[in-house]
Amino acid sequence: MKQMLKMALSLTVIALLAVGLATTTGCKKRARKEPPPPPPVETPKTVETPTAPDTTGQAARDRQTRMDADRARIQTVYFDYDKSDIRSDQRDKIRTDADIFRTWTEWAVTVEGHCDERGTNEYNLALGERRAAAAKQALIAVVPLLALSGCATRKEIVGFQEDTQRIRADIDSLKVNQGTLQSAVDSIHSEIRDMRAKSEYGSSALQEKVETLAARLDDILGRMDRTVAPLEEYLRKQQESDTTAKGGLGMDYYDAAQRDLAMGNYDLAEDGFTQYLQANPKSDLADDARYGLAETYYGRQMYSQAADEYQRVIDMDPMGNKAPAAMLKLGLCQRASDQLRDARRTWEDLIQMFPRAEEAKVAQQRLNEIKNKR
Amino acid sequence: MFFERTVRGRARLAVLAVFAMCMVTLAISTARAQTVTLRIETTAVGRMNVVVMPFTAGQDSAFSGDLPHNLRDLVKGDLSYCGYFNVLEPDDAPLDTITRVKPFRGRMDTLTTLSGATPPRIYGTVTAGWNGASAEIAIYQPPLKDPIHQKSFQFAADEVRTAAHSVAAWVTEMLTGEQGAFLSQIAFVVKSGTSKNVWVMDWDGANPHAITRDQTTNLSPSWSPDGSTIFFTSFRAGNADIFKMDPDGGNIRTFVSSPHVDSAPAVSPEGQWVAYCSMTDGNAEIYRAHQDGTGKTQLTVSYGIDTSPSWSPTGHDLVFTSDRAGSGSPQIYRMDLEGANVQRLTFAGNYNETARWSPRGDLIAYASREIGFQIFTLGPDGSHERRVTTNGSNLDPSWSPDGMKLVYTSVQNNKSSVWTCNWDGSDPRQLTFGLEASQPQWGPAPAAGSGN
Repeated sequence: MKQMLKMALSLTVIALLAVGLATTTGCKKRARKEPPPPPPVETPKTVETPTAPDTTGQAARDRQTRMDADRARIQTVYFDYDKSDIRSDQRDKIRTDADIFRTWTEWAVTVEGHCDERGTNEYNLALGERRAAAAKQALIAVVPLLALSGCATRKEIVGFQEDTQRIRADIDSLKVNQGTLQSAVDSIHSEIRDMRAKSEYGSSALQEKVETLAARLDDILGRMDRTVAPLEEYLRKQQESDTTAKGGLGMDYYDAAQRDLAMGNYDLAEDGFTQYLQANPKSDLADDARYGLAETYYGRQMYSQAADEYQRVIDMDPMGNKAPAAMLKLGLCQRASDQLRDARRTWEDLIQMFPRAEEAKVAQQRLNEIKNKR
Repeated sequence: MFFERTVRGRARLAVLAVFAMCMVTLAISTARAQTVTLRIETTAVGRMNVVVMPFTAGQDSAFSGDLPHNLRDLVKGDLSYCGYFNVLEPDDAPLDTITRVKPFRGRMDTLTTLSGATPPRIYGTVTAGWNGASAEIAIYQPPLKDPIHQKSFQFAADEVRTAAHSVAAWVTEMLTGEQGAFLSQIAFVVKSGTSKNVWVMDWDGANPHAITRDQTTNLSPSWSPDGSTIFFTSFRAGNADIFKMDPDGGNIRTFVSSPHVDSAPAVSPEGQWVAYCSMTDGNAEIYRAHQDGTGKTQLTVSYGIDTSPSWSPTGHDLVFTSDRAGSGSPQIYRMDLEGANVQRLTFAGNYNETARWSPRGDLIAYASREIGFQIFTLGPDGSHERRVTTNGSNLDPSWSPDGMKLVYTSVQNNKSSVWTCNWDGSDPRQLTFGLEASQPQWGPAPAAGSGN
């Protein structure tokens, strides 16, 4: 279900006396700002401007007429939903618009990318900018000599109506064994009534206490209901989904250690990971556990211990899934300890061995930072 | 059947009775001791019953009028709303006494005993004088005769709402050990005409007011953890840049500005870093910098759009939106604060974004587009996907500082307003009325207010 969004090109026409193309930043030039363009169903507004200098009045008027006519011929370029690449059926419009811009060399052109208001703003801001950039690239590609001051882009949030809605069913179940517990409480009540009937009227203190206990039990059993039932359910599901590949022994240490790491309890996490590694030195998760152990040191800024552990992660499995992250972090430890040459070498190795990993790209950034500092 | 009249049945009864007695003893002794707190983490929605008695005017109150009644209503409203309690009316609460009639030596006599099943009761005595008012709040737990907690609150006559929030915060802390979010504020965006401005309201939607009043577009407010600064995206300088201001809208300063889109600021929980999205190198990437703009570090390097960062409560990790796996199909990823250990978290659906990490660390809320948007939660490892909202189109989730509630944008009948619900989707309530409101961001909970 493809839907169309418009990209409106609006022009800010500035009277420049002698300068041909606007090559400085367009931001400063837009001192006379117009208000944000209206929704795309209307034609974009343009600011009335004085014309280029001329010699005779009639020539100037004819020129103005031609300029206005051309301005009216500028077309809106459409994009596919959530996409920022120029569609093949829109390329003719790009060509037409580029030709118009080439004719009127004193214009400074602002390229705007528009997005759906119904989405969230942050992603759409970036998408809108990409659309503006794509359009600008396409225009320049058609007319290479045309330098557009499209550096400043503005986003317009446009309303868009969604028509249909699907409803997804929610799946959630809790089991409560009310019947058993209720009859248990009932029989306790009847026991207590029996006991009361047997005791004398004067010993009311004991009766009070017993009544209190029975009623509290009510409350507590009810609460146990609500707490225990979902726990049972969770445990049952855990048992069903637990696979032996992860290793039965020590899994709870590993999970608890990961949770402690996530919550910032580095000392506890260190113990957990260490114990897990002692019990399962060769399991599938051993390198993850050792990486987690290294992270507990890194989190406490104990960089030399962290470096040792990251190195062990790499040595254990140089092509494993944790190796790129370990190499990045190892380099950071080395940089923190002022061993810049080692850091550089680690990161260069990382880039060479795992060129496509995310960490390799970050490492390249860090290398550039080191080089720039020198 | 479980407790049948056999040896085994009675043995079970005995075991359960002993267990119950131990629990009761523990409950009573913890109530008295006030230093032992046992906190059990559970995902079940177990709420504590509580009764808020009608508040009375103090003996030497010069005048009080409706003040005790108003204060009690506000406290009761706060406790009902916060998600920790079932607030019962005094008439509906289980009785603390049972009255029976029985014959004794030829005549009918009444026997009154304590039932013990009653929940804690909140009593308040409000004294108003020329210099302001004070409220003595006491929490009773029958069958104990003395109050288990007591506190005095001073407030000016026009600060009743704030006083009620302080009372509710103290009651919640005494009974559950939780801080609650009673004194926090929520920043959000209001559209009027073609401009969008940042507004602020109380945690329950009261007192909404604008803090920016511009003819431009202001978006994505984000609080610093000490509540002293709000970072936000604004088009006031021509294109999307990130600014910061005081919570009353004053002292607007630039944080990050460039000829390209700079947006989506998020302050780390310790306040040390601000993560944000910038397109300075032509591509939307996530950076981090100190609050004064120094120490800029690039965290993502990918061809796709990377934006909307959100910090874990330890400040050690981030979740963010990226469409690196498919242009136009954003998904949720996580990484650590150095940009290492990148993992994809969402695999269901083809449009998942605005992930926000709960301050408790156990859940990540995000918006997923089906046809409209709906809010879901995930564990930090991407497991246990769970739906939170169903009606309307719901996006931009933000957590309360106690991780108990969410605020979000809800679009219904073409109108956009800010709604709230508990972490599991229960008790949804509309917070803004008559405004085109969106992008709520829940601020931090300051320390509890007045009192001795």
